[in-house]
Amino acid sequence: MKRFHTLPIATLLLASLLLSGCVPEISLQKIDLTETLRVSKQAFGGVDEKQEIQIGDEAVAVLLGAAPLHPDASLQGYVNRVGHWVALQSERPDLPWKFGVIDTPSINAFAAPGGYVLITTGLMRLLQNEAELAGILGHEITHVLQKHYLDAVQKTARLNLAGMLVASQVDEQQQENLQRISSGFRELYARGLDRDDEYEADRMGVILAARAGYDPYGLPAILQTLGAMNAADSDLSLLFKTHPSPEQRLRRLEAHYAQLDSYAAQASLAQRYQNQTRVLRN
Amino acid sequence: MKRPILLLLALLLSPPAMAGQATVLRDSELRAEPYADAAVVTTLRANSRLDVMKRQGGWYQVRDGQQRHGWLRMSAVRLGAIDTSKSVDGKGIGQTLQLLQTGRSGSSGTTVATGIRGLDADDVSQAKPDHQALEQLAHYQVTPKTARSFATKAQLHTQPIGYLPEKKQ
Repeated sequence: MKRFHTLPIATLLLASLLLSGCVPEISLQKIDLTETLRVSKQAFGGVDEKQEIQIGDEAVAVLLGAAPLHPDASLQGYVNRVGHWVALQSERPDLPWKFGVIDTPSINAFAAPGGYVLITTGLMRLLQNEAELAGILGHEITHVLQKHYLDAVQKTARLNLAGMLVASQVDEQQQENLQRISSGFRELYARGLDRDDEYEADRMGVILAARAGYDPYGLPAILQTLGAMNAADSDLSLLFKTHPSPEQRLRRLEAHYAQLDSYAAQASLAQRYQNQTRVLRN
Repeated sequence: MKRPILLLLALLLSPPAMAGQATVLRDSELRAEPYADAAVVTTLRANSRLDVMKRQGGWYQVRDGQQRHGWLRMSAVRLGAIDTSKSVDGKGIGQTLQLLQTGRSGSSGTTVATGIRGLDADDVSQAKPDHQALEQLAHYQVTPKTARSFATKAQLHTQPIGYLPEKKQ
C-alpha cells in the first residue's frame, strides 16, 4: 500500500526538520505533505493513469473469463448510464468508466483498476430500485477511486507494476508481465480485499449515491436483504468469503445514519429500475 | 407449518413490494410516520417478529403480530426471522425471501432451470482472460453527456456532500 511506503519518508523528513532546531515551534498540521507524498510515490513505483487502465484491462479480462457478459445491450447501456452518472460525482470523473453486467446467478459485484465495474445478474435480480443499484456501484467505484485492488495486487503478488509496464520492454517480456498481472488478480478476486477497504467502500459508496441524487439508504437496504438470505446458498459463497458479513457492514454504516437522513427523501426510482431490467425477469 | 405458506402467498400476490418477515433488534418505538419526532404507536420488544411492508429512506413500514402498523428505524430491524433460521425444514425465511425476490428456490433449482452454475472462488482463480469480451464491454461505454441526460430525465439533482469519517467500533 502506498501509505506503507510513503509514511516512513514523510516521518523522517519531519523528524529531521524538528531535530535540526531551526523550526522549534513547528506544528505538524501546518506542513503540507501532499508534495512529499507525491514525489515519494513516484519513486516507489506508483503507476500512472495509463498504466492503471492497462492493468485494469487484464484484471477485468480475468473476471470476464470467469463469467460472460449478459447479451442484452439495453441492460448494459442502463447500468453504464447509472454507473457513469454516479462516477461523475467522484474525484475521478474523467476516467474511462466502463460498467458491465455479467451473466451468473452468483450474487456479487467487482471493480478493476482504471474505471471498471461489473455486477452479476444474480445481484441485479435482488435489487428493488435504482438507488440500490447506485449504492452498489458507488461501493465498487470507491474501490477504483481508492486504488484498493491496485495496491492489494502489488502487495500480495509482489508485483512492481510500474516497472513491469515500461514502454521500452520488448513484446515478449511485456506479454509475460501481463500474464503475471492476470495471475495476481485471479488470486486477489478469489481471496478478496482487506476488510477495511470494504468498509471504506460502503462509507464512500452511500455518499456517492447521495451526491448523485439518490436515496443513500439503497446500499443498507440491499445489505439487509443479503443478511436475510440463507448464508449456505452457493450463490453467496464468493461474496461472503471475500467480504465482511452483511451484519458487520450494516453495523458500521448505522453509526452514520443521522448524517444520511437529510438526503433520505431523494429518489429511489423503483419504476425505472423495474422497466430497465425487465429482461432479467423473463 | 401453515404460516410460511400463507406468508409466501401474501408476498407473491403483491410484487414488487418488499414484504417479508423481520426481527426487532432491541426495544424500539413504533412510530406513526417515518420521522424521529412522529407520534409513538407502541414500544416493540426486542426479538419480536414483524412483517415489513416497504422501506422509505432509513425507515421500514411494519406490522406487528397484533396488526399494529407503523414505522421503525432500519437500524432497529433485521430482515429475516433470525431465530427461525434453523427451522424444521432447514430453510429459514431467508429462502422464502429469496424465492419471492428471485423466483427461484435456491442453488439446486437454479442449476436445473438454467444450466448456469454460479461463480465461485475456483472459477475466478482458474479463469482464462477473455480479451474479446473486454472489447465487447468497451462498446457499452457511455459518454458523460449521455449519463447526465439520463439523470436529468429522472430529475436527479446533484448534492455537494462530504464523505463520512471513519468511526472506530
